[in-house]
Amino acid sequence: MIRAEKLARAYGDTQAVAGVDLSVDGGEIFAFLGPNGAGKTTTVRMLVTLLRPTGGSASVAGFDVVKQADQVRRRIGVTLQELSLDPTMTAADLLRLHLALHGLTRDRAAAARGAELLDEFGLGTVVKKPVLAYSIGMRRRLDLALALVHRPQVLFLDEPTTGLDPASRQAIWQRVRQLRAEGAAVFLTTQYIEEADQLADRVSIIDSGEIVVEGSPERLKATAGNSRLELVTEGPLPATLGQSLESLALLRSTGDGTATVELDKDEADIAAIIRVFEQAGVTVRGMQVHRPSLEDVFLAHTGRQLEGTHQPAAMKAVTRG
Amino acid sequence: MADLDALPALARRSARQTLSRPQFLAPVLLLPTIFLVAYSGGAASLRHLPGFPAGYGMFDYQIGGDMLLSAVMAGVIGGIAQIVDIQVRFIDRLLLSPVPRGQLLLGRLAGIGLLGLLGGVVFSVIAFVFGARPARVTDLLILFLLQALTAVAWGSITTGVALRTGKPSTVQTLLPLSIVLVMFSSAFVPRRLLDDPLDTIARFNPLTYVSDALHEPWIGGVTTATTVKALVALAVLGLIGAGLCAGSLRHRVEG
Repeated sequence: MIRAEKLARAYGDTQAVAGVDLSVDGGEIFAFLGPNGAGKTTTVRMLVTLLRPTGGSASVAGFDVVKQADQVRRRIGVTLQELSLDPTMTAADLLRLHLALHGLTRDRAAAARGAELLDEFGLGTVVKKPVLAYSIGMRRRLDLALALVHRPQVLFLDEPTTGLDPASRQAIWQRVRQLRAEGAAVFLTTQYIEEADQLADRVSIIDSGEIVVEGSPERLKATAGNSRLELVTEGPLPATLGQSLESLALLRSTGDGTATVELDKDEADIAAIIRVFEQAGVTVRGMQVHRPSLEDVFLAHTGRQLEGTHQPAAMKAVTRG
Repeated sequence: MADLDALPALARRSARQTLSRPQFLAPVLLLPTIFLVAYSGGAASLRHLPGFPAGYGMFDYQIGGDMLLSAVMAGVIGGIAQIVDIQVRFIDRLLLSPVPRGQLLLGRLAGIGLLGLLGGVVFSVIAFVFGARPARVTDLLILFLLQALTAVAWGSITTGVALRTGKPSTVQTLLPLSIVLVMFSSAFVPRRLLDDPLDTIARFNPLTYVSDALHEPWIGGVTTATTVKALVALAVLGLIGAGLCAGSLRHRVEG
């Protein structure tokens, strides 16, 4: 559904996107993960025909994004990071205009679908109010509803949940999963690790205009090392602790009242590790398992942390004493 | 999808965008009204000068000039409305639709034309209330047509500038500049009463020819020659605007 080969965009001497290759099939959610300014939005704007590439080629739904831009636009639904809504218009006005722009003015089924979508997204009671009166969450839901009215084969969602509360985010995720189930190709850009982790079948990490790594979230995380057990301890750590743990795990580091143990792949018996500490006269006051996340994948490939990311759900902490 | 299917919806939206904002209506209706009151009252003795159309009052002359100002202001407001669309990114929603980009522009310009027409209707009513009458009913129809076309032609230029620069400050600058251009035409003072350099400027100012045509229904009656000159002037302005819009849209996508 979406293909790009060496897709590039330069602004003068600045290479915003530097030769991106990607492929997304129908029934797949593809996430583009990267920090602000990495080239995510520029890539999307080229794929949706809002910006002409300066190098490479791309096609969407089988049509070239430069030579057959009109055909591409007939087949895509797009929500942009910066919401493209006229604040003085109502949801009903926007729906009517959207239907007209897609040649569906006389299509009663499309109009009914639009009204149903607005209802489904919790906007049924405010369709006659100007967008100005909507919260950010309502505006994002309206934007998504409009993007779906004409039943696009390919959906581009550029940071669709930025600024949303958890409930609104979950509602949008749910709908995106449904679209995948219906066979649409979904191209999602996000700077939220959790979003990419939860939603995507495949993730591409982009940094400084280049894709640094690509794969399923599980495969990528598997390449980022083992889980770590981080312990808060009381009492001096004996020098022989590493040896005592040898058969269970690897003692990675120790600090003032802390110890980090790298677990093996199957995350060996954590209780046994705690027992080793206690047998060595060390009281464990708290612990936390840190499983490899896409953040670690990003760190491993770029040497930097992803800005403004959310912690993944894999983090769980237990404190006692 | 038929080629012009989306045009009515785009024109309606463009017109509603301007009509729903009082700050957009003020330059189209209020500003020319102020000029009308000021010139009709404050410069009434001009009618005694040789060269002023005999048998007509200052109000009869002013109404045509005010219509020109109103139409030009409608064009400027069209450009400002385009800038608003760029700022709130609504332009992206339009550009993401399968509607040909030329039709998107036509929709915008049709809305500007309606705003221009509104000015024409309002000032015609004012003219009627204060006793001015067009020579023939058909003159009024020609007047409305010219009014709408003037707004469209001027609006195509301001829209092109808006698309090219994306800067509110640049488009806002067009407002005083447009007023100056109207002042440097025959809008408020007949050509025969202008001295150089104003007369020379007015001769090369395309708005002079439009102004002459907008005066005619209230002063003597519409003539073919003046109307054709006005249409040629508007065609020139429209072609400049269309070229500017096409180039600006291409620039917007090519970056």
